[in-house]
Amino acid sequence: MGQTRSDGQVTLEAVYCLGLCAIGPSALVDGVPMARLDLAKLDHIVERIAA
Amino acid sequence: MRRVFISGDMASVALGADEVADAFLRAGCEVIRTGSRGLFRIEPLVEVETPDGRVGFGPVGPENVAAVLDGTHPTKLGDVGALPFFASQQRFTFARCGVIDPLSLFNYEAQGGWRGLAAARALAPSEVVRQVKESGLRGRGGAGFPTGIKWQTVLDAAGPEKFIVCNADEGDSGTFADRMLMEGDPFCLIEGMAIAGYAVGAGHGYVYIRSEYPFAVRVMREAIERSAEIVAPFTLEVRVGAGVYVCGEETALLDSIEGKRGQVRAKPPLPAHVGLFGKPTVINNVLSLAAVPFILAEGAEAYAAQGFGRSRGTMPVQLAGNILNGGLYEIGFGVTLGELVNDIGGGTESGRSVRAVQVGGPLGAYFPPSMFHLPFDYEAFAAAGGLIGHAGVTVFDDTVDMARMARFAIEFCAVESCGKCTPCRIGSTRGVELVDRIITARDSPAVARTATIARETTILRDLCDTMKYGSLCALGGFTPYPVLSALDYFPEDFGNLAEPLAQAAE
Repeated sequence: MGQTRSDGQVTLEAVYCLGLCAIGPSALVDGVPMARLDLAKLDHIVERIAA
Repeated sequence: MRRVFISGDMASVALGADEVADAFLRAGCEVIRTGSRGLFRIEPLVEVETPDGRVGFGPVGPENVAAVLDGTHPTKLGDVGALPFFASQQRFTFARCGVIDPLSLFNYEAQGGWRGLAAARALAPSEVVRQVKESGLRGRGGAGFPTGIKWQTVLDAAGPEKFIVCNADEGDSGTFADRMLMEGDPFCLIEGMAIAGYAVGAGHGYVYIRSEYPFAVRVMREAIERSAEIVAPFTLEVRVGAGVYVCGEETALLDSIEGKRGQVRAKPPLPAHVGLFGKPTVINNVLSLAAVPFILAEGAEAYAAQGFGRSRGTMPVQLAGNILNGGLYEIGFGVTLGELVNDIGGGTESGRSVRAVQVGGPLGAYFPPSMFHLPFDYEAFAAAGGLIGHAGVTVFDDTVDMARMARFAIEFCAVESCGKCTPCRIGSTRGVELVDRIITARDSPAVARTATIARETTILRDLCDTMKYGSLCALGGFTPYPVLSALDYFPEDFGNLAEPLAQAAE
């Protein structure tokens, strides 16, 4: 948390609440909300960032 | 052309509503984006307009367009409003949310919008304040202070310039009602603020929205622009926070709007006397202000007719965490905690038994199922050592470690403390260290651990007492609620019962 990937493409920041608490865990990726995260969805996000 | 309704609420979008809406657009449908109805288990929800009313389907994926349009998709729900989760609600504040296009002035007016403002303008300002007093409305941000008395104080305050400030810094984890209202029915909040402005003689209002709510910021800004002529001469603007929890505390919020670092002010003076830029200021939560149009349009009696004891009207309860029917449920005060969690919420999503429920955000108490008889009421929760706060209800199953939850509560305080008062700034950090020592001792095989736990627990309780009575605001003052309730109701998680631990070790 709080760190940036060595290629500078991804930074992880902690946020206490996105107001999506009934469908957590959730994240905001470049302004796009994503809910019910699991490892598969996280892989998908990383792929999108790479592309 | 077929017309379908799909929520554009941030939660719905997080569950894939944008992709679903795109798929229906590609199929040649007219897509109306609404707010969320508030039951996330059926999101993304698609409602198809038919001669017999809207027919709902949910959850729906982009690949289901054809099956939804020909009515054969297996997640067909029929009339969504008739589902038990919705039919049993009393939607005074959220009547339009999830139903209308949030930015359509035509929709808003057609569904009863602006009637409260018109009714207010037909009355003397003092009469509007009297209506709000008689409704029994209390501050929905958590403190529960009577809204009408706050307004009366500002009305009586001398001065040519006064302000209305809406606290939309909904930082409590487990809550999302402010966000849903702003995204799903922004004109309702604007109408409430315009009524407040008329009632107390304020010409300008601020909506202070947390930066984590980009959708709400966008919708509110657009709604303010579209409704400017209707609320004139009252004017409004949005201010965006910077990710600081304590700015939800009203005086820190005022400092933040003034461009200063968000730090809590000592009270008195009250913001009603010396508020924003030193002027008399009404500062209310989103839900308090959004309840006002109903009160003026339908009458104070209609609002006060619902409720329990001194808690009048309805509360938009937010069901969150490990719960099957997570979402927004607006109901009159007096519903019990058990009804909310088990009957309405459907128990845990994991299917395991409920072990703890935190009510009122990160500063609320943890209650076990033995407290499920508690009626949702400001006084009943206070008497039980808790608070209803902003009415977030977060459910945990039997896998939760309550010592870890106590640690989270006090660590949250350490991270978010504004630093102005010592009990909160220093106490929270010492508290994390104490809980860490208790957890280390609990998990250690050493013989002396019982004495260590007893000693550290005594110090932790003493520290909580100092924080509760010595802190400047609710952040330090209420952090003891989750810590002490975890200690009181779940002592076995703090190693205070030798036997369950011995069994666990076998």
